[in-house]
Amino acid sequence: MSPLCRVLAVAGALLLTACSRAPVLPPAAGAEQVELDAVPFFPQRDYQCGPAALATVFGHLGRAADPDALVDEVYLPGKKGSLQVELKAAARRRGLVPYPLPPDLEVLLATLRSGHPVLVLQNLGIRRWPQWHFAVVVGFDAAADTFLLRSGTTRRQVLAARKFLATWERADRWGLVVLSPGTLPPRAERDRYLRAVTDMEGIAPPAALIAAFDVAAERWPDSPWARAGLGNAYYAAGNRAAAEAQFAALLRRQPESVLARNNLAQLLGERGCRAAALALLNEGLASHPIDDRERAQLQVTRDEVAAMPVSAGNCPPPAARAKSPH
Amino acid sequence: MKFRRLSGLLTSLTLVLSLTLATAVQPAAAAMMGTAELAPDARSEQLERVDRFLAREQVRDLLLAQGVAQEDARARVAALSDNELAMISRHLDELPAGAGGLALIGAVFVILVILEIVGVTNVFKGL
Repeated sequence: MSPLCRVLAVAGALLLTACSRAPVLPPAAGAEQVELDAVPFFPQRDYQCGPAALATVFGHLGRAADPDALVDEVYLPGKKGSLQVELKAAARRRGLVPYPLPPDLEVLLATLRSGHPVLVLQNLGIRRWPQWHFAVVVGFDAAADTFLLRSGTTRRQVLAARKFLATWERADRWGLVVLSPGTLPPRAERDRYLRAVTDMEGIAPPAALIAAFDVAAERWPDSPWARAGLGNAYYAAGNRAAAEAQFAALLRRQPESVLARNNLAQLLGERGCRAAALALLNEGLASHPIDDRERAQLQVTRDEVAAMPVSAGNCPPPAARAKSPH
Repeated sequence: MKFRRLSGLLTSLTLVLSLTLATAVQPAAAAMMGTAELAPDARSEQLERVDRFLAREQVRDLLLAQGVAQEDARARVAALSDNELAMISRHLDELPAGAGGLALIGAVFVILVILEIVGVTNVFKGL
């Protein structure tokens, strides 16, 4: 089949589906209308919809939003466009959490309902000749079966839900919510959220990481990932006591956690409790099934701790910690 | 001969310098384990330190080739995760780059106009 025939066949198939006009927005939405009026608008210039869409969501959070300044952070002159991952990276650099939505219409609606605009990727062309475009969804009208967007040079674009979904579908339903640290998105998925925050480590200011992990540790108290993140965030912020408390709590709950053991030992070593730190590390090296990489890590820490000065501070007894089962 | 020795010295100096810079990027003390170790995909996705250094270099070169300024490229690479670095270094050509501009020619344009008219696509209103 020649490319042209294939396109005509695809067009024909799409035409058939395009003729069925059942409403796209779910009946559960009833006559619901959501419009986030206050979301600012930055008309796009040239090919720069990425910087414009980012400025829109940053501005909504009360952050400085200048599309021209964002060009240097996310625009690729050679591609005349921006990559999805670089939009996320720009949020990280500001201490904001870039949470990628699951590819689900219901979650998109729930997110809008709770007041968060959603940065989306659309394919305005067809799969074979894609026309990628970033826009910001700011609402929907169930009765009219439409979506409302800040898009390109249009402040309030009203798009038939069917059309919006087709363009969104062709971009694999990619959507991003940018959150102030300490805010969880509605229907937050634990691992999705923790991945987004973990990727901020070493890039975002420590205070933002503390807030972002803290809200996760509160929502998912049994998650070792959230607690370890909070411990590392406190450490990066220079709050060693709070970091130590997190790793100690994690180790009590999970004696097999190499990360909790290693990081707690490092903190104890840093405040002069060499005996307690070495006891933790030796126990880890001797008694738990660990892989080569973990073994190497514990050995590095042991060498480091062994070289640290000892102080007569308030140290935990070397054995007590190791023995307590929970 | 002298020149060759000098250039060899320069190369090793550059290598040492860039390795120092690479380790300076690490957020915490060397002995602290990063939170990414606890991600479900930690073993498959995490890059070893040397690989990470190379991936950063590679992606920085790709950004420079795309016309990004030197100092911006460095900062942009530093804000990417291991997964993202790996993805860009392997698939930059295939990744969508949201633009919203029209760079179309001939037949493609005609077909898109037809699709637009029958309501399948939404190229022109979205701009």
